[in-house]
Amino acid sequence: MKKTMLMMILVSCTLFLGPLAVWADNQTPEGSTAEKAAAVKFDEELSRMIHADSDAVIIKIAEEAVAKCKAYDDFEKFASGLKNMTAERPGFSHIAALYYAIAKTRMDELSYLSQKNDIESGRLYMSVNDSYRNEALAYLEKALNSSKSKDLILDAYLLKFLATKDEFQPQAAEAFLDDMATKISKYSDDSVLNKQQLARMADEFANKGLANYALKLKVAYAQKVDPKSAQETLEDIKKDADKNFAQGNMKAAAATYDAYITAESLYLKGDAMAAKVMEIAEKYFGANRYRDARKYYESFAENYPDSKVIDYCKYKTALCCYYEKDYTNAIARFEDFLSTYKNSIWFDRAFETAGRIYFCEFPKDNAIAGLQKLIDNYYRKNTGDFAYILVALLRYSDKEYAKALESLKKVDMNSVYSYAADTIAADIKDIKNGSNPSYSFGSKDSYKMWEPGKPITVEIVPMEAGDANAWLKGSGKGEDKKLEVTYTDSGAAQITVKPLAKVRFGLSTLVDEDRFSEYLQDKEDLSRLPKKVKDDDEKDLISLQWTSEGGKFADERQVRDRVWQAPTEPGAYKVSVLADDFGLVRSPDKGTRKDPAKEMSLIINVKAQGDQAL
Amino acid sequence: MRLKVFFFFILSGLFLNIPSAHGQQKFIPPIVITDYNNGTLTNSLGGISGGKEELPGTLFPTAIPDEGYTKGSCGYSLQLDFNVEKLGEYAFYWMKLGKELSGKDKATATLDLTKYNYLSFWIKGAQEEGDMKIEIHQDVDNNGIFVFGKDITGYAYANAFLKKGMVTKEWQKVTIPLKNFTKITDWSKALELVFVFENKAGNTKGTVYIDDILFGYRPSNVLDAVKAQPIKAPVEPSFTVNGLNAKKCLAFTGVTTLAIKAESVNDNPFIESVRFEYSVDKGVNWKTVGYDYDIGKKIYKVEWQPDNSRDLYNYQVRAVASDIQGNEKVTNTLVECGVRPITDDEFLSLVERKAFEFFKDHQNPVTGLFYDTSGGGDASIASTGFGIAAFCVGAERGWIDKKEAKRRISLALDTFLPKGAETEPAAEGKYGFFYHFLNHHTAKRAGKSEISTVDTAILVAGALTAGEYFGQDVKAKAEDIYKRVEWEKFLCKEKGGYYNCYSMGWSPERGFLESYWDYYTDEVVLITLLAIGSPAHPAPPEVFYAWARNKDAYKGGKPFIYSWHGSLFSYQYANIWFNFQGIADKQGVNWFENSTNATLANRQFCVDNADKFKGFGPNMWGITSMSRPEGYTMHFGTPPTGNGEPEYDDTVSPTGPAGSIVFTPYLSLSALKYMYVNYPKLWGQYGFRDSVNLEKSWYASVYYGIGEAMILLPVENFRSGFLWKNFMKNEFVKQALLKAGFAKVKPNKGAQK
Repeated sequence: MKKTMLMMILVSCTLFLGPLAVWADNQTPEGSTAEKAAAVKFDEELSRMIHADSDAVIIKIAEEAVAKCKAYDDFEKFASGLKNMTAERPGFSHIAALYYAIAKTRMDELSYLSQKNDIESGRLYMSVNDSYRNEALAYLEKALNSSKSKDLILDAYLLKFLATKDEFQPQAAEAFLDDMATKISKYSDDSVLNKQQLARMADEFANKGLANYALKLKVAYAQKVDPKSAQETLEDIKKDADKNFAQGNMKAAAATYDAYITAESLYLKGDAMAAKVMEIAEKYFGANRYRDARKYYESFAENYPDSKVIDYCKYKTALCCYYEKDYTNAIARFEDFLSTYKNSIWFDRAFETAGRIYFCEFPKDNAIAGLQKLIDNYYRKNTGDFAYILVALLRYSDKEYAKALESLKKVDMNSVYSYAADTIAADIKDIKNGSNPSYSFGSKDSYKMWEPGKPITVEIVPMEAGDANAWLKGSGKGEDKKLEVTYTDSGAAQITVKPLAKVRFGLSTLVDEDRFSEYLQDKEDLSRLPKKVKDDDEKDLISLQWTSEGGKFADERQVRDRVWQAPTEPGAYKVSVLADDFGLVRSPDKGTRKDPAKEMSLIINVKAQGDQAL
Repeated sequence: MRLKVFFFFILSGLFLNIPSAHGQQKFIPPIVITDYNNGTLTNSLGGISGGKEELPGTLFPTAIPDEGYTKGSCGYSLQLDFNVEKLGEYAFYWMKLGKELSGKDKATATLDLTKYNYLSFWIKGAQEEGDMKIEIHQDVDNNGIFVFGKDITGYAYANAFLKKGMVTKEWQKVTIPLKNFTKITDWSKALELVFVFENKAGNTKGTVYIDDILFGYRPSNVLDAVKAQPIKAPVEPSFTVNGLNAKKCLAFTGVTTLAIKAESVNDNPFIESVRFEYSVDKGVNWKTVGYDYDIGKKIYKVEWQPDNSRDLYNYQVRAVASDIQGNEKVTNTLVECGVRPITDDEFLSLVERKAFEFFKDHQNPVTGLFYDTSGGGDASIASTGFGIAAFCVGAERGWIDKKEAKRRISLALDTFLPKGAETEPAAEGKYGFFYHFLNHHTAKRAGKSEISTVDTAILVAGALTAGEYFGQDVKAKAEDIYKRVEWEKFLCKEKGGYYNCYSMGWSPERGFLESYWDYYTDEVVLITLLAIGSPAHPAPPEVFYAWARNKDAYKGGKPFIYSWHGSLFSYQYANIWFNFQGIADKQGVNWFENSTNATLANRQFCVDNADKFKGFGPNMWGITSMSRPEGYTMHFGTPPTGNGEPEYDDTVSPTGPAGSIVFTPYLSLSALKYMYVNYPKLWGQYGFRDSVNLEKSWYASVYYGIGEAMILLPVENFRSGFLWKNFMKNEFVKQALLKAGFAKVKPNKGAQK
């Protein structure tokens, strides 16, 4: 369609369609794309181009001219001038640069239209998009055929890529990108120079917000050069991924790792490649990104089933499911692990974790059935006894004391759990005798598993307490609503509640890695610590000590979640929690290691009825 | 990708052994029940299908487009997710072998299979599975409904007919002679085909894929043969494109006839079909173009319109001959081609037309009401209002004959007007308003649906548009519907928070709903303007200013008056009909600009959260009313919102950018192109599916009338202004704007990006 005709249609469209008909006013819209007169002249730029002595100068002048364009017609005028020049001077020594400039102008023109956010520009964009891109591609082809400049050729490929990237044939863009990689790989005989060009073009992509294509370019390049250069390029890609990972750009990191692994697998085989996959899996696992970690563990398991560490990989995969709270899947994977890798050093841990999942996450009957299945199929002294203890605890919590004792009797008296079994049995005996239990469930203290060396970070999360009894029964969590925390001028956290309001204080950052540890109470008696802590110097315990200045806690248990009731008198009160490290971790040189304790407080402003408060 | 496949035969043909003059036999091809390539669970006979979704024992059927799970990596296949873990459990997938019989609830037509003697389909599992039972149900009492114990069930188990003896991860052809369904006594009354997964047959929990189900005929010696006569590959030199021998074609576009010579059934009685395939990755993967089952001749043809809108850049074509046992012989690459990619305008035309086809296919022929969704069920008056407008677009674009469009629109309008001496229309309602959902057969209230103000307003807007487009009797009917709406009846006149606000609805059980249109949304703009402009029951102009207008910006963007949930659709509905460009109300609000800024905020939110949500990005935006894995939501939106708590997950909807294309032309166009090119599964029978959740790899399977409208109508406005032009020609509409105090302002120059 000729431009003038197009303009007429667009203008008439605006006049006809607009709400102006309501007022019968045929005023032309102001500031429209169509109406703006092309006041800019390009004679000077075109003249300078004729006398330019290099491709670079011509392209720079073209950029200056484009920068002067303020309207659609300006672009049209400049593009027309360029085209006339190429038609009049077919033998021009830098004709390739002129061709490139025409293509670039067309692409800039489309970009200009895309930046304007009105219907008229949108329609105009749509009407010329296809033809201008094709025109640009045609001129770029001419530039490629006539250019002697390798730099210009690379730039032309970049522009070809951009002209097709967001259109309907992404394969075309990918093909141009591949061509570009080929040209870079053959830029010179010096691989250092080639890598410089690769970096230049990758930067061009990155500067345009196309980092993913910079990555693709590098991967494509690696596939076209000698193995050593390829390996260097791939290592650069991995560094990019590590950098993104470290900076928290997880989407970019994931894409880069994926690309790296895919490309690297062409060069590295066997254990060397497996190690790369495992490294990434472990990296994600260490960052608590279990879903991403699982993807790589699963890839490892699929591609390297004969690896020496396949048992570890499978164990970690199951563990990822556990941390993703996909308990059904986790159980299935742990049980598969237990049946397949009976001699693995991870067997006991897998058993214990599976047992813990049943114990913590399944309804009692299902949990007992699951634990019994573990015992029946995978019993070993210690691990099997751990399961017996868990069964006993489930029975105990439902006051099925006889059945609990039955389970405890099955615990091997020489296992590490015999003391725990005796303790629970003693508790039951106390209860049967009508007295409070001496141990375990009468305990007021609670100890948590903790990673040593990490600062203890404890954040109090206040919630409107629901049915406290339901909570104690383990079913009232959903009834609590989070309360808004504000901060005083001095930065102290505070909430506002009404007299006698019940508030549940939870700890948001404390990871309850081992609920079973709540059963313990005697830090001096290490024989009573869970096997995991006792034998494992990677874990530590912390204790919690809640205090309240005013108001009262619902009970005296020093557990992670406490229910507190505000006093009747309005005023400011304070609840604190002290998380203290037991210092159980033993460093070989320095004896016991103890991290500093952490105390967190929350001010509770109790306001009378009618005030804005809970 | 969608492939346009034309079989060179009709489904209702017979497969006879008729001796020809040369002693050869004349054959009529098999009945292809379904290849699922229409993307739905409705087969080529018009029969619906479904699963057993209630415990104990469940089965969920889905037509899936996943490449790798469809036979020939093309189109769709049937995915059956079953769970029969417990002893004695079973679950099944049923398929009707005929259309629903009009006037008989749940009754369907039967299929005459007397001339056929085998059933065939392809099957594979996500893993190895137990045995699958195949049942054919015979309708004994001719009532079109299967009753267990009363009607006859013939059955066979699949494993006995699988080469590997069981369902595996590879596709296998199942060919079962019908004589194995021993209990069937009358093959002229086949009512249903059923696939059953029983625990007792070794099934527990799994997924099975099925494709290309057909009934055919072969002599018994062929059918029972253990080993087939080897088939030959099609004859390569005989390959033609549009009748011409071709080795290379550079601009392969438009409808193209691919033809090749191969064995006929007279050469090899085992041959079943010849198909063409194409590859876009230099022969690594091949996708089916189409089948020719007409084996009575030697030249096999498939017509193909290469999809130049997605992945065809350079591609190769080859042909494959198959026999009834699943053996295949393949040619080398026959031709290498390229296609011209579609233009933006062609793309938008495709997008529109596909959405239009939803309305074309989902109108009840008696009441003229439009279904709410593609999933069947009730009609909705919103879908009907939008559908009426869609037919105007279709007529203007030539997608439907203009007279036919007018007839269909009149049919719908008549349902909302009293006939003859009657005082009430067929469509059930009150005070000229109508129930949100209506039974599509009877036009009576569906379920406990409410009489809805906003949905009635959409109906009126659609009707007025058609009235202006067609004029004369259509205009008269449309304005009659408009005049009958007693707007004042739903207006709150009690002093207080809802004064001069419209109730959202009324129901016999609850009376006037306690919810009022008391907060800005584009819906309330539409309702109140139509009320003000009413020819018979005009509302006072004050109603346009009675609802709350709160203004804020998202992260440094331009401020705008925001809606309660911040859902993108709540900035789009009035702007479909009213062209607010260049005009502002008495408070100086330009509602076009307002929606422009709201759209930019919606997109920016998705850009800002792209790292947190897999499905968000510069071209993946549109948080609006849409379906999501957990069900349909009207509450998803982006900040700022009236409720202060925007809801969203990883789901975005193409209806978001499409519905805003007049506000953000380039950004919307780019998003739609990006979604289309990069997520082929987001494209189905009616074009863009409603939504996608990439985190869960979930794509909406149901199409919604209101969603299709938010694609079709705004895109048409962008391309031609058609809806604005017609709707705003109406005198009452013009009056509504004047009465509400709208005045000219500087036209929109577009918000800053």
